[in-house]
Amino acid sequence: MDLMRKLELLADAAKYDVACTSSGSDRGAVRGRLGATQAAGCCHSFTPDGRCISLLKVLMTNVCAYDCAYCSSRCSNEVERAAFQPRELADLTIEFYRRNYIEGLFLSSGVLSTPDYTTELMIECLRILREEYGFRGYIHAKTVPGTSPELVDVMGRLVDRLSVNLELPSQESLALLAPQKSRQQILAPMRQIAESVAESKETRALARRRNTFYSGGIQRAVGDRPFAPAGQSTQMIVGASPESDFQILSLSAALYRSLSLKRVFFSAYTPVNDDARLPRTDAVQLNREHRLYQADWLLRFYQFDVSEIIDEGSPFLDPDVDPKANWALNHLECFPVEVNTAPYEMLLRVPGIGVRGAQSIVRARRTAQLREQELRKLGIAYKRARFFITCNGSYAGGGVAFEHDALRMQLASPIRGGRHGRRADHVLPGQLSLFEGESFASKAPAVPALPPREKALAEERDALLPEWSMR
Amino acid sequence: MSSAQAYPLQDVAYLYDGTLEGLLSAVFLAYERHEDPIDVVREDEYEPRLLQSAIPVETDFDRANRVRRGVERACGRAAFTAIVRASTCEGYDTGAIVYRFVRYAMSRPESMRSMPILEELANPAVADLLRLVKHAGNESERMRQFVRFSHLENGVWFARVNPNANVVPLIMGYFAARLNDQPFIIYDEAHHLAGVYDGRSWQLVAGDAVSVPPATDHDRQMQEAWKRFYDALAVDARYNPELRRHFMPVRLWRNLTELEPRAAR
Repeated sequence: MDLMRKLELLADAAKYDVACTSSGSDRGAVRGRLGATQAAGCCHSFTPDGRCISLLKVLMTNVCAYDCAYCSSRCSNEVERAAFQPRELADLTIEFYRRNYIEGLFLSSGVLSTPDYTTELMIECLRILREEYGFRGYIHAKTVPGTSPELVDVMGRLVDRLSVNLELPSQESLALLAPQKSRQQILAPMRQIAESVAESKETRALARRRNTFYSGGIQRAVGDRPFAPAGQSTQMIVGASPESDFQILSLSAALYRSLSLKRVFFSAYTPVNDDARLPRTDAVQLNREHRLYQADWLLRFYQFDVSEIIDEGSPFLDPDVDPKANWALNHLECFPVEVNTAPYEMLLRVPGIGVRGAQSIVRARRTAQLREQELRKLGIAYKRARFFITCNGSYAGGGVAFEHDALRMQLASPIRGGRHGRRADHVLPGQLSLFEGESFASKAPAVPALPPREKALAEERDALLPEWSMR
Repeated sequence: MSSAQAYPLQDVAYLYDGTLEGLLSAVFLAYERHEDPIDVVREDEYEPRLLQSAIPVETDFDRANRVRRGVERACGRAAFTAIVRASTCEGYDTGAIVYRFVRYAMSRPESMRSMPILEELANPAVADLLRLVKHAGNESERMRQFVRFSHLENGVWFARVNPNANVVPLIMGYFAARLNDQPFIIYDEAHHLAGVYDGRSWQLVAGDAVSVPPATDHDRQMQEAWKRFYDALAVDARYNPELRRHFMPVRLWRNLTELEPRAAR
């Protein structure tokens, strides 16, 4: 099989892996060696769906011994199989890198015979890149579940970021949809990576400090690389199993806290297989994914606690209002805040003021009184923020009653990008149609009988959001 | 000229040659002549206002350097770096914004001196300059993202770009560091400026046109591989062309290997 076809197959098989970040690692250039990384990462292209392409994202092989319900490469599917030679892939990475197509390599893999064998193939490719070619660009590798800890350790020292896919948000769903993977198999390497990253950071920090008491014993060996300096990330599929947003967000908050993950990615379930265990739907819950990411940002950058975003009583995020606006609407007693004096933490909570905006306000107000004109120039969304702030004591949100429902009307905003693709909320079956002849019956033939699990979920959702009812 | 000196408040415009040195010479001239020009414009873009007198500025490296030293002494290196970045922007008011920023920088009240000038986000003179700095930064980032090299038969790596700010000088250092073992040229077809890296150091070459040898066969294969990779990554169920255009403006598509045939359509 020629290289082109291989690349096509193995990129196609890898495209449902969400993570394509090249951030978190800052490695300067060295004369005579190829490549460097910058902390913010760099996106080199964007797919027609607007996702970034920053790394050469491929599978080592799409041959797989496992049979996960949602995966296109599962062993029970009849698809064309291919595998890269380690050197072939390393060469391709270098060629792409020299043309500034990519920031580095993202290497994942199906399970070829055993997890250890597969990982050894991946390690060989990474070793060629790092040691033979002296490549200093970004490398992100996925560990194959069930790999022995020794190999994870070797891999960790060749890559910038290491990740283990959580796959699904609960153990039960995992057992149902990915029967060969177990919770233990996934969590053990995550713990190992978290510990190794922390340890490597500490050792290197100590070795850097000249006059430390310990420094004699821990001189850094030449060529000693840090263990995954950009940390670890994970991803889970949303919408293939019945977990609520509450469960998903609580889980990701716990992961950030206990395993110090850099990112938790959510992937709206995209149907690729026909399988009785999966939801029978053609729609992709992109809007739900979007709200989850918004909540995720609140956890990571806005100093929110998961309990402030969502609670067990209403376990799904509001589809009409973003989670930050929702918090503000439910805590009107905290507003309006005075932009010229409010603490940074409080500014972060104002809808329409982001991290950049809050930082700019704090800097700008040291030398000037901020009014509407200045705020607009600082690049905050004044249209939204005006209901929640005062400038020098004057409130500009007049004309709208300062109470939950009226403000909600102002802040409700549909998620952009709903015009294309199989967005779950694109067409609501049962909504009024202006053209009787073109009933939705032809497009979405009767709501199919749901499996019991799905049914419970649908009932829960209907009770929660009657206007979004599917029947 | 003499009439302008006699009436210092008269409406004048300074015309410079489009270079940073020319712009700084214009700033110097305003101090020398005790004038406050309304417009500081590139001479090829100038549109006279009613009753406005236009004064061509002679580019003078010594004078430009004196302005640089003055700004650095009063407000630090960072302030001058910001001026350099801002001056790469296109736009009729770029020169005037830089001029007003220097005026403000040199006349800041003593009480403000303890705070870096670029922190004064609410000051109009600073805010306008920072808007240009941000634009130049964004455009540089786009170039870091979307420069596409191809390997020519003479061994040089060549990329053609069309940024909307003259940012090639700002990105050469970045590419010269990470691709330090490959001689390359980045040619800006919009500003007719080429950044040339010979394997040791880089310099800028101005030129209206560029003729390059064809790419190697192997290079064409790699371009084909990259296109196939790009196409394979699309997920139809998530199709969202607005989002792609937002991140990757259509004006840049014609120099993007993976979108070439589509840009022509």
